[in-house]
Amino acid sequence: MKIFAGLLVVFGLLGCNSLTDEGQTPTTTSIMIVAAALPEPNCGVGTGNERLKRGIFDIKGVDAENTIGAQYQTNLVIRDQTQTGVGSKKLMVEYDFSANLIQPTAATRNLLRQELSVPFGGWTQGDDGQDLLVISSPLIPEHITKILANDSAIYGELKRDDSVMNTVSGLPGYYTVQIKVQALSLGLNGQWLRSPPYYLTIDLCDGCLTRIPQQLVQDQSDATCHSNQDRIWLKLGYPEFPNLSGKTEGPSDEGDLNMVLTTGNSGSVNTLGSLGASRGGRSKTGVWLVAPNHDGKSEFAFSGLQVPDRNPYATCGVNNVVAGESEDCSVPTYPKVCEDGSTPCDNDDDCGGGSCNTAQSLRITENPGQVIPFVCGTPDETNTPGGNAGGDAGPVGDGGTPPPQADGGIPVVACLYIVCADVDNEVLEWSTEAESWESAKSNCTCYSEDSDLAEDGCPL
Amino acid sequence: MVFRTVLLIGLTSCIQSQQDPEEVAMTVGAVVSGGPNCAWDGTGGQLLTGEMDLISVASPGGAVGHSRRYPIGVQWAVSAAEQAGSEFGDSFITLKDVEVRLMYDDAVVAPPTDETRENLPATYVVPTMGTQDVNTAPIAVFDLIPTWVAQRLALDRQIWLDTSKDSALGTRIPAPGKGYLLATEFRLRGYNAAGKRLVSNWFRWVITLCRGCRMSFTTTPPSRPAPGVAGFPGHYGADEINQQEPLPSRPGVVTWCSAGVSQATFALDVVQPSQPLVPRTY
Repeated sequence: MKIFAGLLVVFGLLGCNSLTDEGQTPTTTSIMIVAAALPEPNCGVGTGNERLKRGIFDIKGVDAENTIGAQYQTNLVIRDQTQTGVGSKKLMVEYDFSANLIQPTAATRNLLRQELSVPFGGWTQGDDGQDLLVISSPLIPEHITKILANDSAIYGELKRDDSVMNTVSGLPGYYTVQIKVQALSLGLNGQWLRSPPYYLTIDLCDGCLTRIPQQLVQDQSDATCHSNQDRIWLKLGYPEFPNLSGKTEGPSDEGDLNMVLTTGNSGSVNTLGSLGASRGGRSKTGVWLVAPNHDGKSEFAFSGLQVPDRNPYATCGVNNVVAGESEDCSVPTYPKVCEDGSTPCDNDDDCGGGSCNTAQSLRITENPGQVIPFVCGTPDETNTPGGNAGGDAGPVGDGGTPPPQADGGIPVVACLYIVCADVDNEVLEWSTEAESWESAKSNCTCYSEDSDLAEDGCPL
Repeated sequence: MVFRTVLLIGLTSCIQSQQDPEEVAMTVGAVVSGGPNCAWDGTGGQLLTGEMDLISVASPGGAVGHSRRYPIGVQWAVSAAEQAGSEFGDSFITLKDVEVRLMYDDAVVAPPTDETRENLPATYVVPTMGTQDVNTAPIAVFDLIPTWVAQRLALDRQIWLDTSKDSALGTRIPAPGKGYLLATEFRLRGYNAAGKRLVSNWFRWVITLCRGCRMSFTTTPPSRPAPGVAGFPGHYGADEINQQEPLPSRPGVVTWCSAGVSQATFALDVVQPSQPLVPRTY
């Protein structure tokens, strides 16, 4: 009977002991985890660094084998008074998923049921007078990352198959992991000393630290220590944009049937990486012929910008423009026409089976039904009739028939061109100023052989 | 007889050790803004009210986005009785989680439907982290309203009625100016270094649930974009929203802590791109 009662006492106490949460019972306060610290962008971290209040771990790109080697690195501020002089230390880690409505699969839970031992080093004991030290260790090592990323339940919760919403441009899915971590240190007497537990809360996501479309413009270089965790704001600073502008100096020589368009990039980054560049290898710079009124031109209003119809009358593809540099391309001096010499066209399809060719001259519309061929250039002032005496040839469209050349050739008139870069909006510049049509026109410039016409007649 | 007494004493002490009352050892002082970077570094200041946008969390055609949660940062301190002794002694506090309960009894209008209340637990626990630390004011960050709770609230008929209006077509549509006051209470939970369970006071935080007051989509109604479609969403401040142009200056980067939730930083979150930025047409 006494033996039975004794056994009851023993079992009772054992049962009592089993009810005690040993994991919560610290072995010692000689070693304690005080906080998790955020590293500087250069990965420097000290005991006084800003504290991590919520972790983010972006597992985008982690495949079945975690070939990218993603892991969640943590910097823990530790107070160690064990004074062991021994470098043998490790972290004991447990994962808890109870914050989520959907739990990981049984296979994952079984794999992560036991405490995980993660070694750390870097110091043996604190300096005199220094209580706090920083250690760095992966609390979600590579192989654990692989397990989590490939768990079907977590996969579903993160909607890993939906790359559109799982970015900062959407509302990404998150899966919360709480990590219980205790530091172990080998005491001078050869016994392991365990710290009280410390808890980290980390949100897993698939792409929440990235932005789409990535080809839009290049992101600023990462200003973060670990690109796949925590500091979303540093890494996702807005990218610099190119700033394109088109211009021309007109034909090199009077009578040239082609002229050069120059696309300059005064922004701080190349257009490389732009949507346009990646799709077609180029964006477009276009040219309009504003004056004189010519055959095929019709007015249309665009926020005060009066440009001819069939706009622009010519474009040229622009390759990636390096920041601070420019690129030239060649366009016809006059709008192209079909074989009848009067129908404007962009390509042969516009000519109903005929060919679309570069016009040899400009067909200025004077009066209804009266079309006179002219060429752009600097009018010969000596042949200018009285109305235009004084050297200002002016646009022909404002009245009067320009005189023929002294040699009897095609009359010359001053023309007004507008050149705009990125007319197809492929580069998607983003003005640093308020977005407006005014800033949108900053991509354009006017050109005329007649400076007064360029200044007074430019609709920009 | 002696053995029986020993047995009873042993079991009684065992039971007592398992039923230690939770000690209120922490005090939640205030709710603080996460700031523009979700760092809760004190730059955002203190908040007095909360706001959460439930638009398109739950829709007949499926929710837009994969999450809608209310991350909150609270400043807390160790109660005076716990501060005695060494700062790294047995009284050193480490947080583990937060217990949250939604309060319906004092609803300004009708409470949520019975279905909603039956589908939500009386209290739920969300994880958090942090310690009393040294030389820094401790702030605990957690999901006061996790996505799964937000989804249930969004499905509630009463909340829907209070955040929508009649349209010309005879249907109900979101009314950005209307709100539903939802009172929440929470308390922090943790351990001291000796392993003793500790809690904070219950802290009340009132949230105005709305639809469309803080979040805008690039299509109406909100729809999922096609993969690969260009877009550049973000946060806008009040001044930027008042601009007359189609889009104001480039927005701030969407931060996880304030997408559709008031952190006193941004007036509007433009999310879910479905078309490119305003194209320039010459």
